[in-house]
Amino acid sequence: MSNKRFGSSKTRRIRMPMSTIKFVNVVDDSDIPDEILVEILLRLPLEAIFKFKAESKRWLSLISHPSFATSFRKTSSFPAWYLLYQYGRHGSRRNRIPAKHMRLHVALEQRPDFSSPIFSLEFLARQRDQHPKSFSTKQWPRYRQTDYYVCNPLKQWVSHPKPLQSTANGCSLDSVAAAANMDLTNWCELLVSGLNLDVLHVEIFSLDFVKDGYESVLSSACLYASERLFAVLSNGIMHWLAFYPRTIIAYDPSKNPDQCRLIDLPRGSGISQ
Amino acid sequence: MASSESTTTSTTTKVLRLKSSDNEIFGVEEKAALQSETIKSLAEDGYSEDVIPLFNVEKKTLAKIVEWLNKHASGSSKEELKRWDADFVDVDKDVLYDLLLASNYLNIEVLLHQLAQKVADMIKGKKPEEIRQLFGIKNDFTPEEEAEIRRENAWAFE
Repeated sequence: MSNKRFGSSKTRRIRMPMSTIKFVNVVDDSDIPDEILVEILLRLPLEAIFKFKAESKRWLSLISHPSFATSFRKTSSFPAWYLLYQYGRHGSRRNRIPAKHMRLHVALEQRPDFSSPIFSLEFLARQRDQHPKSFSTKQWPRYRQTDYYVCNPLKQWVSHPKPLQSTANGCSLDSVAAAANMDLTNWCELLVSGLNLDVLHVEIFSLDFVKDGYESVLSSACLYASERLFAVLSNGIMHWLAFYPRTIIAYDPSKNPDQCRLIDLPRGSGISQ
Repeated sequence: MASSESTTTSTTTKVLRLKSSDNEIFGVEEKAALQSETIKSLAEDGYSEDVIPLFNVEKKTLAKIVEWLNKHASGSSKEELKRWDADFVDVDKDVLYDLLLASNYLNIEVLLHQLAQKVADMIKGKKPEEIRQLFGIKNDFTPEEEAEIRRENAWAFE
């Protein structure tokens, strides 16, 4: 991962002095070194960063450089990723949406590829203080899904690897809950395969192991979920609420990445579907 | 008041002499001056007995920088520093710009970050056209290229 371009401040060499930078009254963009511009850009919210891609080729290339995304993740006080999901109806190859056609704007919903009624775009954790939420669709799908996509908006679409367990049954979006941590690498998702009252397998997907696909963190647990699981992020720990049995599934990626914890809800706690 | 003065240490604090590009000399206590990595390196290279030349910083900017260095070496409370810093960066954009370049050249990380934050706060709600004006950016996109970028990132322009 090259972070050379921006240099960490500790290793930053002094630019020795002889070529003087002109101090002029009228600011000229070309007099601002890349590293200063990057320091400023890193402190902007994502919307502004995306907007400012349209300034000039230089700004576009600074923002699009892979090291910018890396630095942004490390330094920004804004959510690392705005997760944008888009999914197409599974199954036939024809309906799969090629990653290269995925773009980050809603206008694409108009594209023929995306005209399926079950296609939807939604940002997660758009507001800084907002709890990440599980995504929803405009028209709640009742179909099995096989393709998921996650997007790093500063970079490219990533094709969501296929779940381990759910390939046989397909995986319903109804029973997917996602939680986004502020730290990208801890982004996790709980996938529950099977529909309705089938036995469910819990799998967790984190971008740490995006290359290897899903890691089945809790493959032996059998849970029943009703319509969907709700996800809440609290203190960096993801919590999903399952109804049958009444359980909270807790996952702490930083402390205990290999295991989920099940917290039984007291009887009569009044949680209903 | 009087008692605090009498408690100052007997060892004389070393003063470094910093020279601006327009030959103004500023005396700054070593402890304050060494917050700049650049000055630190120059001092280690043996400039410390003499005048440290800062070719890239004009006196009006260096005066501000020295003010910052002194304040941040003064042992002020966190809250006070925070207030003071907010006032310090509350300057017009040309001054801000000079300070940014100078803090980068002098490699004063904390100050650079404060200034970058200030600029980010200033520009985050602005339109691309306003940013071009503010930064003196030449738009080198063709109209088609710019339209494409805007289309791809339409959500940000909402």
